[in-house]
Amino acid sequence: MTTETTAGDTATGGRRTGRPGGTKRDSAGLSLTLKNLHRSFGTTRALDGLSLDIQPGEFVALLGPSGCGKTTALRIVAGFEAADAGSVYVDGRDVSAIPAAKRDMGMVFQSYSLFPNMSALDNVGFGLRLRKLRGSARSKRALELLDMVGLTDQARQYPHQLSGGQQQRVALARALAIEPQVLLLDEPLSALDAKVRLQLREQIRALQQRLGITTLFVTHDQEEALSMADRVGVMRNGKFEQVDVPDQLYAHPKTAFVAEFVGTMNRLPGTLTEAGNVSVLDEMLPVREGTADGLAGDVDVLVRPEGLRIQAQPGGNGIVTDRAFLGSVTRIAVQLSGDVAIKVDHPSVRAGDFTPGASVHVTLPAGDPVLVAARL
Amino acid sequence: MAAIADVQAAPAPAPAIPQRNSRPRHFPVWRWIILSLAGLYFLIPLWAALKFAGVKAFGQVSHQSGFTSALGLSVRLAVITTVLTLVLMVPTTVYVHLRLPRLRRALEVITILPIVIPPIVLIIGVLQIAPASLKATSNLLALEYVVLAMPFAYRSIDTGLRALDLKTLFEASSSLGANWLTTLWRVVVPNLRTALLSAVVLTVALVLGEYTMASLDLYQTFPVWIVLFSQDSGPVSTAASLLSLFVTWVLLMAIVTIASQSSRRRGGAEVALFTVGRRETGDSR
Amino acid sequence: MAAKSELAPAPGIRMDPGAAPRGLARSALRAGFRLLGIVPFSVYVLLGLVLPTIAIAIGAFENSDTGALTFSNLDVAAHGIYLTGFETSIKLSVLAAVIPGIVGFLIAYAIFTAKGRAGSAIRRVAITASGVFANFGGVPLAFLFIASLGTTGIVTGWLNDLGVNIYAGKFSLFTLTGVLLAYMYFQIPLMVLVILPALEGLRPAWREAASNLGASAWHFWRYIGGPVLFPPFLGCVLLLFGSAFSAYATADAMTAGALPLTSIQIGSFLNGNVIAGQQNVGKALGLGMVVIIAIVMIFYTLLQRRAAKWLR
Repeated sequence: MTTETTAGDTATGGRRTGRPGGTKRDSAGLSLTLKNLHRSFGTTRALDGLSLDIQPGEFVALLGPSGCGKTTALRIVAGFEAADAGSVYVDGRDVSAIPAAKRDMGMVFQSYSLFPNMSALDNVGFGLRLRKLRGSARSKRALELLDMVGLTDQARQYPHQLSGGQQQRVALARALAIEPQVLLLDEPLSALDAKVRLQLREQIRALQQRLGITTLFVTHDQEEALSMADRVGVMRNGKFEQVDVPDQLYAHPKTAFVAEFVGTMNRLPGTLTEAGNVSVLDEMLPVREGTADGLAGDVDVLVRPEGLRIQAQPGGNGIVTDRAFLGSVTRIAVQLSGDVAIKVDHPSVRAGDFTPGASVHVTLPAGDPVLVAARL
Repeated sequence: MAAIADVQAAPAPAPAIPQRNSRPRHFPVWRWIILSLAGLYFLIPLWAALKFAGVKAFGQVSHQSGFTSALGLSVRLAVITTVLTLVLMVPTTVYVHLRLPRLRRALEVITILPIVIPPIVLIIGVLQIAPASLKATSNLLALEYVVLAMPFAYRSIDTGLRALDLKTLFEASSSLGANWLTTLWRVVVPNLRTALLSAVVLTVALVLGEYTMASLDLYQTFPVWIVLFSQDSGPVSTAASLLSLFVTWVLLMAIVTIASQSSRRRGGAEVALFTVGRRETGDSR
Repeated sequence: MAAKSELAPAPGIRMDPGAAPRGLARSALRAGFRLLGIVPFSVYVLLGLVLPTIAIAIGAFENSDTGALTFSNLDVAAHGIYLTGFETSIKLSVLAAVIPGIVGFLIAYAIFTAKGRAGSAIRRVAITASGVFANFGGVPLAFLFIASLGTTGIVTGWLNDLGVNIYAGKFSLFTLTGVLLAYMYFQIPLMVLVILPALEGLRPAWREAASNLGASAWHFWRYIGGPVLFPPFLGCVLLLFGSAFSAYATADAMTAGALPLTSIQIGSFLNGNVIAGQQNVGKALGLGMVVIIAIVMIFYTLLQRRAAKWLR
């Protein structure tokens, strides 16, 4: 069954546009639905009613701190664990009762999942062997996949002879060899060096787009999630705090947790007024709808470093404590009166005056409604 | 062992969470069968020996002739052997780890040698070349026991050292003004507590149970006494055997518990103490 | 390994061309001093292990009376009752290696895969028990079995009550079967202990990856589990062989020398039960024993080396 997926018709709002040429494979892109998954380990609730609809060919990342349940969710989808309640649907069919070996999903593990007694080629061909593909056809297909991940020369090498990045690429090829309905990745880059991680990020994403495979990717690294995924589901304590496209998550976080988990956030002390505004840094600003529910009086206002303005001013409201050159932007650490530490981003070409000890004035320009959270 | 029997009585773990999904739970029946059979095989002889000895015999053990001197001899030998082994193996192993890492492989091979040259063979050679003055005392046994204890003493200490960054410790210590010996005594040894404990206990267990060399060297250590005395009274000998087993068990339980507690902190395996080398020497078998 | 740095000059000594020969000599001297550290150990090993072994090796070739070079000791050692001794010992050791090898592996796998809190409790208990039982042996073990299965043993009595007379046939604790039964008591736990590290090297990710790719349990063991575990399994069986072959005390205490085993026969030479002119045959026997075990241990080391590569 071929599923037609065009770039813009997913819930992503068309963030990822177009595909870098090439045709879709027949096995590409089936929809994946998680419905109300519950899972407890003793008294700990790992999953608390988790639901998610993933479109065919979509790349969704589960992002969250350790213990939030993201790996549990993935393992339930793969079939290695059973949910206490709730179901998993692939292409509309309930697969919850199907054992892992029969679910036809490809999984890439965090590390050390290659079979040590087989060469890279045999590893990739293992799933094909189980599907009764004959020797030469099997080798041919396995080589194709190794070629796709750029490891043709390493075909005869054994896992202990390969680097971490190479091993993960073989693992990816192995998972894709069986033309799975769904691709699952369990923090595949966490055990790798930073540089290798970046390279592999691009490769995985490019491969996924080319093949159009529905993908679920688990990570605790927000940079990874934001740069690779069509949509990101931020999880905490077994539930989604927000599922959205990366730039929405960044610009319009729905909760304080998401705001602080994704990107850097400053916390500025402010006071809520009855009119639904908040007084902060000597300004009166509107509050984003819904975030002040249940709050009154003293709150924290959450602002991104690039959302603040800074200028040199003797007798201002803060003193520069440090500065970090980040390229086009310099991140300036400021200690505000009232003992509040914040970071402000300022274009590097104009940041010459902001040296440690300098007196500055920091303001919050009027604009979009701001996010508030309970005072810490 | 009573501990295994208790475990068999425990029900199979299956928390009763209402399952909407019909995935079959994996029931490990075969596991319980094997463990039960194994448990029976190991427990029945112990039980039989207990019954054979009878409760009375336990009380009589310490009153038998030769008991005190035999036990005393074994304990004395154990102490000498343990001290010698530690004094010899700890500095050597540390030194090799630190200064001669190439020789680690050679050292591993050397410490396998007492396994390849079993005590029954070794004792012949020893009795041949040892000077008469040494042969006249039981200390010869202690000296040879050090050779027998080498494999597991080395392995215990080696395992313990691998968990430390020895080079950094020594450099830090010497930058603060300590010499080699001080560092060894005050820095390395305290960090090897578990390894040293296991080395000590394994050595003590070895000496207390060593029969081959002692009997052929004609010294009445505790195990030798047990065998000789069995001709007088089977039940008492059996009781003495059970007692020595019990003592060994307590000692070993202690180190395994302590070792696994500290290795759990490191997230490591629990069995590093008992790897290759343990008792292939056949000296007590 | 930092092999080269051992001989490299310490930092701070510049190697200019004119000083090259002196620098080398200095570093060679330094290396020599380095080796001093293991002198005490080496001396001890030399005196306590190497010299006795050499004495045996030499003695095996010496005529017991004249000291002249002869092969007669080896000749005697390779025939007659001594040959029987070797055969029986090897047969016993093979059985006492393979059977406990399999049983021990199953037990180790059973405790290793036990899950949950009960599982880790089982593991702890079983490992401790194995450590303790692997050290049982010799005298106490002999008495355990005499008390259980001897002619007046408790278990013998139970079986008699059930109508089974185990002594009706050829069984006796003095035979190979009896000694084998006793040997299993420490061989099985030994196997459990030495195979566990290999099992720990069996990563769960492999099992999961295999099943994710469609493998059943059978497929997994056939293609991955079996091939990966076989070398260490074989190695451990070899280790058990060495352990059984060199065992002395259990058999001696149980059979009082009734069973022709090489180790017992060697012991009898020290007890003075020798035919005149054959005193050095015992040394020849000892040499033979060492050679056999050495070969076995070499294979063991090779197999473990191979296993280490895969099981990391």
